[in-house]
Amino acid sequence: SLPSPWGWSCVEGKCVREEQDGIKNLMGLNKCKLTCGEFGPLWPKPTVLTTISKETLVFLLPQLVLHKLTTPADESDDLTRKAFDIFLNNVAAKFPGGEGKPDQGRAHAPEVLNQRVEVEVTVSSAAARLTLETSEKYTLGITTTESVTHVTILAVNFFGARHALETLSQLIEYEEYADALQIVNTAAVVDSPAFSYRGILLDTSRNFFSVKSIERTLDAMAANKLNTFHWHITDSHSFPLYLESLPQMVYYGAYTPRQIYYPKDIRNLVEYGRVRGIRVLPEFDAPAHVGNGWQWGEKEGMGKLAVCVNQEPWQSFCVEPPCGQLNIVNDRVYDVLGQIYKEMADLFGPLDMFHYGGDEVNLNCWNTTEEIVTYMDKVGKGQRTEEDFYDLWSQFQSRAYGLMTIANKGKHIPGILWTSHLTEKGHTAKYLDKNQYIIQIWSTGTDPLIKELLEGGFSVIFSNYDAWYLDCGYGAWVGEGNNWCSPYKGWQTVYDNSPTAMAKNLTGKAHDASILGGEAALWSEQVDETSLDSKLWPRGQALAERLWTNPEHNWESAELRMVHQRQRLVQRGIEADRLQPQWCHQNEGLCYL
Amino acid sequence: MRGNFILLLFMGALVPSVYCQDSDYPWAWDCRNEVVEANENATLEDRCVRVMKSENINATGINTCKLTCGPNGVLWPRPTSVELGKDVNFFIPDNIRIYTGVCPANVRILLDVAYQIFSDNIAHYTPDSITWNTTYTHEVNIAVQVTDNQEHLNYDTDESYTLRIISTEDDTAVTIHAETFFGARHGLETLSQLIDYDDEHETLQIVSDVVITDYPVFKHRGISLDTSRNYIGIPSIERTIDGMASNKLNILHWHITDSHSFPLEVKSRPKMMQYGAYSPSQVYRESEVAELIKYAQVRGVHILPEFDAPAHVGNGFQWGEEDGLGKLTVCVEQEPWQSVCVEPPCGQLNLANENMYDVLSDIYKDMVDMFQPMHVFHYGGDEVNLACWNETEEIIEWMEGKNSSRDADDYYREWSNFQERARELLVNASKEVDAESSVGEFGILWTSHLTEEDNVKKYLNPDEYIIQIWTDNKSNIIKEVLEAGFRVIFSNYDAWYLDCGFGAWVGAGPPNINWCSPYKGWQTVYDNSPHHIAKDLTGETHEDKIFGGEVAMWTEQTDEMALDSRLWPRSAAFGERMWSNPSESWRLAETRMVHQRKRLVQRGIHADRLQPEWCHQNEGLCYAYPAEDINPELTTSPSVTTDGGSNLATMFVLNVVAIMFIALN
Repeated sequence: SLPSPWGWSCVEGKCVREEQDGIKNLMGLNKCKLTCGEFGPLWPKPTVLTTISKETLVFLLPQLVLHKLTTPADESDDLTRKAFDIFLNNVAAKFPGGEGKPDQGRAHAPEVLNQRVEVEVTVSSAAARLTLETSEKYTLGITTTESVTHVTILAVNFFGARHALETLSQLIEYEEYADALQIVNTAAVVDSPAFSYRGILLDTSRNFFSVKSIERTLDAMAANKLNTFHWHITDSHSFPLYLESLPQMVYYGAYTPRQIYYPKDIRNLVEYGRVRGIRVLPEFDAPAHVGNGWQWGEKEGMGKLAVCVNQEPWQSFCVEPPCGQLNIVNDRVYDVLGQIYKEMADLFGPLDMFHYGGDEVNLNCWNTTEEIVTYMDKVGKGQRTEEDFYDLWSQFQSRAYGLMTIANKGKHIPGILWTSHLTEKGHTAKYLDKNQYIIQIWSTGTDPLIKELLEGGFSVIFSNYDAWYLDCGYGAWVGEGNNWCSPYKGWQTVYDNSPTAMAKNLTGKAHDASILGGEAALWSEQVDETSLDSKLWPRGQALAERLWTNPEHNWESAELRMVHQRQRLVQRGIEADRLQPQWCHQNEGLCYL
Repeated sequence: MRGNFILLLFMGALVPSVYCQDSDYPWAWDCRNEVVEANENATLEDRCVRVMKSENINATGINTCKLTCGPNGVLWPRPTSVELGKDVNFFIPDNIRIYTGVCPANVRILLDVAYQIFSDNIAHYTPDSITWNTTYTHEVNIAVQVTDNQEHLNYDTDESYTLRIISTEDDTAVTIHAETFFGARHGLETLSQLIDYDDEHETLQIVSDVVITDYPVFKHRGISLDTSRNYIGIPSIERTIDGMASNKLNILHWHITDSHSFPLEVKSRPKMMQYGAYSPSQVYRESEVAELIKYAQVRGVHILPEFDAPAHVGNGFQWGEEDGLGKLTVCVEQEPWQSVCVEPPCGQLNLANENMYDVLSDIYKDMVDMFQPMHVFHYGGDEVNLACWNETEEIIEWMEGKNSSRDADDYYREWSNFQERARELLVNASKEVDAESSVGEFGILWTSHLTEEDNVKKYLNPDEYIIQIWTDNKSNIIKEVLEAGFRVIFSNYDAWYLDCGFGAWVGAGPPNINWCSPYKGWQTVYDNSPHHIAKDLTGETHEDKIFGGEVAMWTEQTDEMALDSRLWPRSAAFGERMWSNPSESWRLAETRMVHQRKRLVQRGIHADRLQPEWCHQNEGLCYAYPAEDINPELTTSPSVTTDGGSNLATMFVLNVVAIMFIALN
């Protein structure tokens, strides 16, 4: 077929498409994207220093090697080597067809065949588990002497080193004329994240997600330097987590016997995340958001473990069908809960945090349950006021915290709780200890509650639904119209949602020390693995740049890089949604309003 | 620590061996005739209720229940008339036999392909790595009979069929009778919905006794797919056709080109694709188009091509001057785009250049050759920007040469002249291939300035054009075109534009959502009735004029990554509107809809999820009627969750009353 008539030149930081005429020195689109603009193709934008040259060198995949690796311990050595293999796979995926192999029989010029890219990585600390204190800083240098391009990576620990490899993979592209790869010949990047907690929440209870689709999510998170996969494993709808000491939970709780996470799946995912710089943080939501899976208590002589399970009309007992809450006056509930925590601590451990859930308790459920009403009478709370129930709930929470500490072999770890009635005005200080709990904010970005939490000294994670709930904007799943948190949160809204700015607006201060970071949530009432990727991505990228870079500017100056990063995710096998016509990717800056 | 240790031992002793078998499952389903809260009239309705297997010996696997519960089981779209047995027979795929009875020879060939598709669809129901138990000897014998030899779908095609299933202990006899191949393949589609896998027996199952008579209400049941804003690969278009076949949709309206890109190979004008494709690999070869047409044909789908003009052109036409033909298009990629088009990049045909008609004629000729037999053609014809023409020097001079005052009406007249010449070029091209071609009476145009009040009668002939309505459902244009005698296709954007509700793609401030937001949920898609819209606006249903409808998938913000989840399962909702034209709202369709979505996923289509799987397993319980609607005496708000402590004791009493009330019903 006839060759493409188009080429690109970099004009004022934008790639401009022009017709080739044999006189103008036009580039291929990929080279232009690599070298045009202050931050080239990097996503998320580095925070300290970025320089990228205007020239690239063409090379072949086998010539890209880990030349030297210096680490203080075997574990970080092993992790870094694994990260390098992942990096090589990511580079290979840049070839059309994704196999890293040029066309058979294509003759390459000698300078292409001889060009080497030698990567040298130096890691100074042995840290191999992510905590909120882990430094993720790295420096990356690229220099070229004759036919060797030297890449030098310095990092405090493995986590920084793998981020550097991620950045390096963005400075390499397919070269369409030579059917080879190209790398910028000189670059320097110094980089570290603005926030230490950068998360994605996935709910696997409302609908089940295969292990493979969770791995794909971790791949895409790694590509964007996100570091926390918050796994909302269970809810009232289903209980897909297999517990060796409590197989009844999945027997009653899994949607089908094929929709279960076994211990080997969990351990595999925890490790899959770790080598990609990601902590897999489990949530066990309680005392509400439980139900299916708990139906076996009476049969086994333990009484009712959960109440209001699947009760109708659901509107009276919970926020969405099916209902269910723990029977917190049954002591056997704590035995089972302790056992669940113990297995979770083992499967996901060593834990540096744990998510207790703790949202949307419906007092009417407890207040209409005879067993609980009787208990309240017995303990002299016959009035059964709201405050009486909050007291009861907070006692549950303290016992849960104690059980988790036991499960964690006596080691106290911060617990995360969703904002709830317990964190409402005047409640938080009374019911929760700021040294024990981190609060995850899911109300709107202008909720005065945020001020109270920050001024009360709580550490917080932002997930305000008006920007970071990725399930919003679709049709309703109960009733008609659009779902409760409509409209859809476009990537621009996700990008511009600044925790620092929200804190400043509400309190006059940025509260940098208290704001650990943020998280986008994908509640799964209306998503399963068939459209998981397109709902998370590329909007998850926009979140990532907000949390890594915390830019002063809005989405407009990120648009071109954003669109290109989406292409990269697609190359890596992520079915990310399209933001614009491809024409906008080929004609930078012309899709404006 | 010690307490925990004891607990562990205690629990270990309590775990019955049943839990250790992963394949075991406590749940079964029972078809009950009960009040479903989701039903607006709270009438009795059959639904599958999840129960403990150990406590209910009559309960079955979920699929057995779904196949046989309710008047329509899980058939989608709902057949015109159906009688469904309450039993199933279990069988394995090896024991299916399909026979073709009386049937023209050419149709026999098409049927053989349709049987293979049917078998593949059945195979998708079963989990991977199943080993069939050959002790199941029940036979399923399928006989198909077709009388007419028609091979290509058109507006006169009879798509009706009858399907009967009668069973004895040893075998199940299925007969499908249809006038045409298209009816027969619809019958096979329905048959595939009377079969499903059964987890309990690890076999397939088929409803034992069935009588169905079925035909569509509308003859034009389409999906419009735009492959210019973003390129959509051939496998994705095939997948789209698979989804259409599953829902008995019959027209794939292919908006191939636009101002953004020109991915179609036009053999006589190879530069169209060279300049117009996003990259040399993002093209549709003539041979690929031919294959796609066949792929669609055996699935009961006709591919209807659109070449949008005189606006919505641009990329692909840039070679005119170099080749000495002058400017074929004007305003291409002109800035600022807001002045000369509706979205970037701009472009319109150069009406003042006679050479443009030669190129247009070549494009049409090649399209007529590629899309044979062509009984209907889409001219596009929307969103002409008069400012573009009126700011182009060459066009200004040309208008002045005609002593035109260059007001809006003058341009409308020139545009309608263009349309008439385009029509003649196309009709001539198609008559060269087929002297009987009906394309002269079936040209489709989008609603535009030309279809507005006063214009439509002046510029367009109702015997020549079908108007595709993309306004909202209240627009006066609908009344205009119906009363002027035009035949119409509905695609009103407020219900049937599937690209709505996502983030903005050009600029925008908060809330950063696209122009036709909000997202159109499946309920909105389902409830959109062309007959009702016509009646509301004109007092009559205009059934003879309303050929049908199309959902539109404009692709500014979609490529093949999320194509399936945008189209499906919402286009299934559209499918039932078009085929069955139900008088009830979406509520009565909900459980079947959710199951049809599952079927699409089994067939490899990445359809979006509508609800938690819990709702599929607990039919009718994912409703949204506030408590006071269930019992009007209840005064609590739906967000009762934790309101007012002092009211809690009262609420307790009220809820007990509410529960008793429901139980009594």
